[in-house]
Amino acid sequence: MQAFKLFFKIFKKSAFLPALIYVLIFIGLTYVFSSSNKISVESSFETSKLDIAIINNDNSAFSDELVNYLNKNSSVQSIDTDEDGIKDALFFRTVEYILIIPEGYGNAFLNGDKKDLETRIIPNSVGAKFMDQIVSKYLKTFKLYLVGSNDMSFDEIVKNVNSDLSIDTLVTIKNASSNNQKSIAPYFFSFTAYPLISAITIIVSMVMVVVNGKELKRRNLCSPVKSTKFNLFFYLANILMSLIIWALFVVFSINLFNGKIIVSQWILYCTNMLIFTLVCLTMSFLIGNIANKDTIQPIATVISLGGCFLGGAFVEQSLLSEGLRKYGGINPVYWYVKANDTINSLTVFDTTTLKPVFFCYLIEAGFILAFLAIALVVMKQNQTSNN
Amino acid sequence: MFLHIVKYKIKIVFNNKAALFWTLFFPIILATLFNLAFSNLLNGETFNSINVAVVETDTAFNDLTSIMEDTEMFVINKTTAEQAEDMLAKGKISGIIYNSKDLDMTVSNSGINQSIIKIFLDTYKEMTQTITTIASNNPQAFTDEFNSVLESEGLYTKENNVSNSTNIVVIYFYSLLAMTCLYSSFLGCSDVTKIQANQSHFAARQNVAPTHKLKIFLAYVCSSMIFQIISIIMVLAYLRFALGVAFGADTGYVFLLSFVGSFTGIMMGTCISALITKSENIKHAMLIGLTMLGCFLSGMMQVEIKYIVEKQFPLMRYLNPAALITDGYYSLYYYDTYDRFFTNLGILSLFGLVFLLITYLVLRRQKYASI
Repeated sequence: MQAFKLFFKIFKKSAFLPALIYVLIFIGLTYVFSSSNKISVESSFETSKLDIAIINNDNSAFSDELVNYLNKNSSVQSIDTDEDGIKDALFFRTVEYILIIPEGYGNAFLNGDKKDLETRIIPNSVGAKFMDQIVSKYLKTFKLYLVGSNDMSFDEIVKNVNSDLSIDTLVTIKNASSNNQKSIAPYFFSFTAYPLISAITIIVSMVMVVVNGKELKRRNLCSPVKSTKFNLFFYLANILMSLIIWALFVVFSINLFNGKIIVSQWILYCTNMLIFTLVCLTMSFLIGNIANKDTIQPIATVISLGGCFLGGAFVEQSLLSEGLRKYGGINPVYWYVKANDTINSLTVFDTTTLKPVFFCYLIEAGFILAFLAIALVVMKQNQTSNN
Repeated sequence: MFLHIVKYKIKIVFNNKAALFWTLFFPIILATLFNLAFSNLLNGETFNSINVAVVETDTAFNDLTSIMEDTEMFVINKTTAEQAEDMLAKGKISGIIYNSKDLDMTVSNSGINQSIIKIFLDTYKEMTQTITTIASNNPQAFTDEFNSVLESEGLYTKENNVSNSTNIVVIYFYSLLAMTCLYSSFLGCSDVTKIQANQSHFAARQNVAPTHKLKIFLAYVCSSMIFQIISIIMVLAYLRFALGVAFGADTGYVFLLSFVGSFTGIMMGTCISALITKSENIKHAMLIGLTMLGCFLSGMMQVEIKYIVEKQFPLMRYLNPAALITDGYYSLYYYDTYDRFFTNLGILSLFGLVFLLITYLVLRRQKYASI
């Protein structure tokens, strides 16, 4: 029991604050991410609606009609209309296309005078091509009516143009991959890799380093508590601490996804997280036996950030470079994220569909054994060298 | 004497492994990770011709493929239905167009390329509809002028590329540099701890010596600055040459901004260290907290945050040193004019000078009867 108490005493003194910071940062970031990712299930084809901005300096009846049309076919955002505002909005991809309707454009267009609309775009972007298609088809159709029909009034042309342009081609979706189901759940669970590694490494390794300190260790060794008993309780405390952190995220996930994802999926995610928590725990054992007080923070930072970036916890795995995906297998985070992505794509839960998920679990379990084995070897060596 | 102190202080800093790690190796490691993770972030933004399969039936429109070719947007594969479906399943094409009476299409998911194909088909049908409507209204409509409008392709807009440097990923690296600059505050922090007699034994001993305090302070700051300049140049060189991060054409200004940023960083450290006489851990926690919050707000974790913050809280941009540094690099990279750059640089230097002034006011003329 003394070892148990000792663990939490050291935890409170040296690891509580940094660990708390990681968890808090995580919770903050999760809310940022979850507000930017909307949950949607794609069942039928949806024509893309691009974020665009329109700066209407004309305000004629014609330009209003054009704006109306674009409102229906894209998602019009409001931006600052000065030069800096325009440039920033495009750079940060708040909008992908900015249409500037110059003063007097409506009259010029109706009278057949030459006057161009101005656009501001990111060079050669696919979004700009797409919007150009939409804008030119409206203008071309309108122009055809202007040239072709001699006695149609403005309102009649508007009516005809709008009815012509409402034709909708039938689009069938074939072999729809199950990945079309979009939920932020896999992002959330993959992202937990970062606070899990950071918090557990900081706590477990920090306490290990303190306990392994020469003087404290010697004092503990000459106490009447058996070293096996001491170790047993000490490791139990470590495991308990990791489980508490895991439980914290489980509770957080209930709060976030209650009723939004299938229960069996949620159980699979949480199991995955539990296995990964144990990976972190054994890894921290190892680090705790290698590092000292000064190197622990750098090592924890590099391992948590490195593992998460390279394993695809921050950026989707499909966006990672070819080489990273190829050699990602040596990184436990990679398998954790892969398991989450696989769970997300599941619609049927039976032994065949679950096989790839269990495969990832198994590899993570392999990492647990590997870290534990190395840690034990290092511990043995440290012990002999200390004696 | 001054050079003597500088020399030994530099030796001390270069032997300080923690300082070396945080100011030099950590940014390099993080930059490498950014580079590996974000290299494909903008894939799919640049327009490439769209691969489509066209399956023709008895009721095919003759001119469809030729019009498609005229737009120069598609790579057309004329093929059979089975083959087309096979290609779609393998992801070789974005969609299948069935050139029949109904003119419909099949895709495997929604997306912008698929939408472009759909809009093209919509337009094709709509033009037919328009011509029919006009013909029924005015049979004499088909003049030369009408035909020229009909055959024209996209002559209605004048495109202005906003700039050729539009890679959003650079913001990650710029805010990382901002972090590197501001991490130099640790150096400044320990400098003050070493000369304020009520903060460390070392300082108490040093204060007994007859050397003027300001002299020691300046020597310390100089050596920290030299160390920081060497590290930031190495980080910049790594970003530019090893990772290929673009910085715009004005290398001189990039250096200037980095130096001013480092100066402000060190001064932030001395200022906080002078004001807070608590333990080193608490000072460090404050500096890390401030730097990380600043970098988060200037887009180090999520680039869009920078834009959102600037739009929602315009003043924040000028109050956050990390944002000033990031925005300085950004304006050199993206803007043609230097107004924005010099505004950032000016406010940043002002921050540095204010921090220096505060530090000076706290440090000067302190005497202790007992500590």
